[in-house]
Amino acid sequence: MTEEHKLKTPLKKEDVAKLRIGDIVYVSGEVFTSRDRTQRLILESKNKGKLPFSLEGLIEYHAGPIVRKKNSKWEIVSLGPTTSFRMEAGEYDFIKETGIAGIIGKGGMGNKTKEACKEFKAFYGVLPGGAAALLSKKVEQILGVYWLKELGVPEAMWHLKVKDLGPIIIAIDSHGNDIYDSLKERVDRNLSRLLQVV
Amino acid sequence: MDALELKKHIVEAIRVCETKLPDDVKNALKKVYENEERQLPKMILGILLENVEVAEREHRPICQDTGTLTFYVKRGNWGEEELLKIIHDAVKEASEVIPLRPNTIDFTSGINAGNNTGRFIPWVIWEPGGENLEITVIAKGGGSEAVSSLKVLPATAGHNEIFRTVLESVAKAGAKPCPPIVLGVGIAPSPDIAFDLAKRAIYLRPLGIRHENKYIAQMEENLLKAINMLEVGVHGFGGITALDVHIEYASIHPSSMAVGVIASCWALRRATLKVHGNSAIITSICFPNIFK
Repeated sequence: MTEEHKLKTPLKKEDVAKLRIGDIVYVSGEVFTSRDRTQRLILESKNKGKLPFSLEGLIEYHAGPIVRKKNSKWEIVSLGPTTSFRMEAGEYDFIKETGIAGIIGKGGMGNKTKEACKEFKAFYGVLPGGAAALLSKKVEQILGVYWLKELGVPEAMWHLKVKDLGPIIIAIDSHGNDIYDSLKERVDRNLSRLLQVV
Repeated sequence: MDALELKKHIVEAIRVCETKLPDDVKNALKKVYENEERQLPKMILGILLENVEVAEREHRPICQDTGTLTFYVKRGNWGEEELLKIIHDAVKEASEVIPLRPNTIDFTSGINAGNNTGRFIPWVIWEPGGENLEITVIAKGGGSEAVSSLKVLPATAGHNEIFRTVLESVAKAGAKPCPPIVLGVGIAPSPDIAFDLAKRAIYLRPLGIRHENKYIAQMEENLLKAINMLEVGVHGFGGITALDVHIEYASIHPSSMAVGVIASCWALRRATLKVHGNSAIITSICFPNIFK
């Protein structure tokens, strides 16, 4: 049976352990956007002991927003998940080094991320892709932005306060399960059957 | 109409493209939603449709990835250089006023230009014909571009090899291009022509309209059925994988047949500006006459 959870960051290990693939989650509290280039800069700054804020128990959001400045303050116009698989190469180390409790994105991750989620007790969840106008309303406040000059708007690290960000579908849990494994099996089976017919 | 006036209309066309899902796409999505019985895909489709309403009502881009803008242009009496400058200016302005996400990065320096223009971008394709100026703008995001695929087959390859190429491409893409997708297939003598045709097939023909060649029309029907039997489904969670399949083809070379496969995410975004004298209309319905 899939369950629905409301979570508040920073998450504890036991919050994460409760989650199972297929569960639906709504997150409130602090999250931060990050993509491949962002991850590298975050890890570099951590190694120098210069992280802008602690990432322990927070959630990494694979996303790059549309923003505008209103009265010299940034506001979010549209923000939804980006394709996560690009981050697969660096995600294991990122989870290990930062102590994040979860990742949200879209489209699925690979085996190294699954391994890291099990080893370091984290999860990977997906939001409906392309629902950016609607999902942007879940952002209550922009707490800060880092590496904006170096990386530009989409790839900068946006530190956000969100309220009930979701529905997040748990795709990888901390027990070694990946919801997309069954997708791959199903599609591969159907593909070989179809290729026999044509 | 003067350059300033035209720029204003192009900015509006970009706004329509980015914030209003074309009716043919919206209707296809609604039909899938109504027919879906499984809980998870239905929930996701419901959110996508709600998002479309919010985007249109509040003039917010449907997706935060506002894409790399591409323009198909019938020049009318306008000069190429003049139009190119107006289009670039319009993209810069649209980036600020809609606003759009800055998506143009010079990879040699890593610098984001911040206004969606850059080296060769926006991409402008000059179309033959047309007494009047007609500009179609399309927006396609990076997630769906990343799963594009190409195979150069021997010219003797036929129906079955094309099927295999397309099905393998969709299976491999899985949930990454935000299905339900609209698939474009280009069959041509070379890779560049194949991809050009695949993209036109997606964007310049309304959903549900079949190719005028009966053989191709039948292939589209069969491929659509086969793709939906793969059961990738809505965001990978089962149900419908493709809203439609459009194929376009060119005469091939005696030795090779390039098959280009491009997917649009569910948020297929396009708008056309038609200028006649001093009047202008903008529509997100496309006119399937571009190949004639």
